[in-house]
Order: sequence, then structure tokens, then C-alpha cells
Amino acid sequence: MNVLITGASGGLGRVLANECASRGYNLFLTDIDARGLYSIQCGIERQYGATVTTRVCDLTNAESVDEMLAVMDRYAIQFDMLLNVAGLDFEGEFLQRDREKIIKIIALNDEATLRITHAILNRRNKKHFTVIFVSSLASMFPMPLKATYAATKRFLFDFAISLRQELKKQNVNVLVLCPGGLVTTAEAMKGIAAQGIWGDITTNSLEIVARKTLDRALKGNKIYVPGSINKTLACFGYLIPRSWIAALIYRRWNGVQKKWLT
Amino acid sequence: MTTEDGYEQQFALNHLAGFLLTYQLLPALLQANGRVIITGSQSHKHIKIHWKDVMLQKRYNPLIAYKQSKLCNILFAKGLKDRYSQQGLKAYTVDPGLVNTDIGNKCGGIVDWVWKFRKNHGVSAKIPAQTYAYLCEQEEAPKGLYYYLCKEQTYSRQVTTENADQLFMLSERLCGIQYGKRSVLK
Repeated sequence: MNVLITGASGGLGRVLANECASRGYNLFLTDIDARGLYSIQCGIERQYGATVTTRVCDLTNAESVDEMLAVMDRYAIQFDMLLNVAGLDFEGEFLQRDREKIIKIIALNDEATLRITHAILNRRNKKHFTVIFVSSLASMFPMPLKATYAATKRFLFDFAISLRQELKKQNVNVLVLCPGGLVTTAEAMKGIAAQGIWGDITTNSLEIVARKTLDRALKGNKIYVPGSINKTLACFGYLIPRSWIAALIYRRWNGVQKKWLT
Repeated sequence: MTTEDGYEQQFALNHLAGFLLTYQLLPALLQANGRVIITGSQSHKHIKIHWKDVMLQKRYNPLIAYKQSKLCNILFAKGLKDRYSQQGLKAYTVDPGLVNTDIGNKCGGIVDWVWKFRKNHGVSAKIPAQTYAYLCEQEEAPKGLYYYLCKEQTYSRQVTTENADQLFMLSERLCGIQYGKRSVLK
């Protein structure tokens, strides 16, 4: 099984890479962070003796992606699975954030994800193929103070469901993962701690999420919201008017971000 | 949370880091007939190494990971001793006891809470420091492996040459090093 993982040196990417390696899959890992990519490559090769190919790539840059695709084509690599993990967020109010940084969120989370997904779908194993999009619990609600991020994740969520329908008859399964908090980095841990009890109960173990994500994707599921509390929150997203949710979330995140970012 | 190499953090920091540092220092340690003291803990008892899943990927529990990393410490001391005591290098594990330091402060959640509760009964760091000093100062190297309050203590039955060797080999692989091939200072 040949698997491409984007954002492979980040918290969730690393754990998914480990999980894939433990299942004996062949890995093609990409990330913009060369040092991190080298570390995870060494770690996986030493731990599992797996075959790991890496390529530093800026997914928001079409040329950089073309160069990576050229490498894949040189070796005629066909993929069985694509894990779209690369994504980012910059916390804070819309007007207080740097304009280009806001654009960057969309450029990576959405544009770049479509670019690589399109390219890899054209290099897929025609007999069976799996795409996983890492959306977020944030995709379920309008989220003031995380507005751009939540909207980019909503985009991925809707896109994944539509793509799944389009490719259903072509042996492609699409799964969209909507995790709550994940302890991926020290920064994420601070954010979760600042949310107090809400942070604790909406946070799931990375390893378990990684394992179940792959299990479910291979079973043909379409949406995976880890944890029962997160599932309940996701349901509220459908039941409560969106403007009420926005007001509620604004009140909560305002306090959290003050605690977290100062 | 994992390290950049995707290793479980406590295993990587509590055990592998010391393993790698000792490797780097090995020529100097051998030349000086040095002593390596590793900070272990009473909590290395009542646990086995999860050989099939050392990083506890299948079922992660931070306190189990901690206990296992402490068993690794004493196994590493044993592995070092088995390999190098003939050449004059000695290795020890010290159980500092419960010490009131900032351990657990950054963990968050239940782990934070457990440590906060436990630490209240802790002693000052000066007390375990005496054991380290004792092991360094003895003219003739002490013979034991595991010390608490300057006295040799019994340790877990899991501390066998077989387990020590298995951990040594695994750690070499995970660090990408081989102790046997470390060049000696001239």
C-alpha cells in the first residue's frame, strides 16, 4: 500500500505516519519543514524498518508541487491512499490579524489541499483508493475569532462529501475527519489547557484517533468525529440556529484566547 | 504527544536521551574509569517492558509510560555495567524518592493533578543529591546497581541481563548508533 501524507512532520501527520508504518504501508511523506521531515523519516525507518520517501514541498506553491509530482512520475509511483493533513491557523480577531496571514490559511487549508488531491487522484491505483481530509470539529459551527480557519475547514467538509459522491463508482472512498482538540504541539496543549474542562473533554488521544481514522476510511465510512462529546457538539451544530452558536462561541473563545495568548 | 522522530516522549526523554548522551561521552568515560548515574525511581517496579509496543501506541497511558521509562533507566544501567564494568566504567541508578520539584507541572489534566497531590509529601532535592554525591565520592566504586538514601536497594525482577540486552539493542536501533563501534580516545 503506497500512502502519501502531507504535513507529515506536524503532530497529527507524524502519528498517522507511525500508524501507517506499523501496518507495513510504504510511505511518501511531504512537509514544508525539512528538518522535521528528516526526523520523522529517521524515526520511522529505525522503528519499523519501513520504506519511507520524503520530499520537502510548499503545497501552496504550484511549482514546488510540480517538482514533487515529477519525482513521483519518474519512479511511476501509484498511490493507494492520500492523507491530507497539512493545515494551519493563526489565532485572533479578523481585523487584528495580518492580512497575508489570513490569506495563507485559505491558501494552505483549501487551495493547496485541492491542488494535491487533484494531482494524486490522477496518480491513483484504479482498483481502490482512499482519500482522507483532515477537517475539524470547527467545521460544524461558525466560529468567531477562528472565523477563517473554521470556514476553511467547512469548505473541506462539504467538498469531501461531494467528492465522495462523484467518485463512488470509481472505487474511491473519501473520509473526512473532524477532530476536536488534539495534543499535537506544546502550543496546542496550552490552548487546550486554557479552555479548562471544555478543553479536556473535547480532546482525544492522537494515537487512537489516528488508528480509528485509518480503520474507518478502509471500511468505507464517510465522516469521523472522534469522541462522544464531540459528536454531541456536532449535532448541536445542526440543531441550533447558526447565529446563536456564533454568539455563544464568541463569548467562550474571547475568554479562552485572552487567557491563552497573553 | 511524540518527539520529532515520532517516538513516545517519556521513553525518548527519560531513556533514549541519556542513552545517546552516554554514547557520545563513552570514550571519555572509559578513559577516566567514569561512573554513570541514572535517575530512576521506585515506580520502575510492578511493570514489564511492553516489547511489542514500546511506544504504547495501542493504549497510551502517561503514568504507564512513565513507569516503563523508569524501568528502562535501571535496565540501561544494567546493560552498561554488563558491557563495560570490566573496563572500569560503572553504572548506577538512583531512586531520588519523592522530591518536591516542578515535575508534572506542564502535563495538564489528570497527570498534573496526580503529581500535585503526590509532591506535597516530597522532600527537598538536597536529600537525594547526597546519594549521587555518595556514589561519586567513594574511592572504591560501590558494587550495587540501585541506590536510595546512600544504600543499596532491591529492584524489580524484570531487571535481567536478557531484558537489558534487548533494550540496549532496541535503543541502539532507535538512536541509529552502535556502542560497539564507538571509537576510543587516543
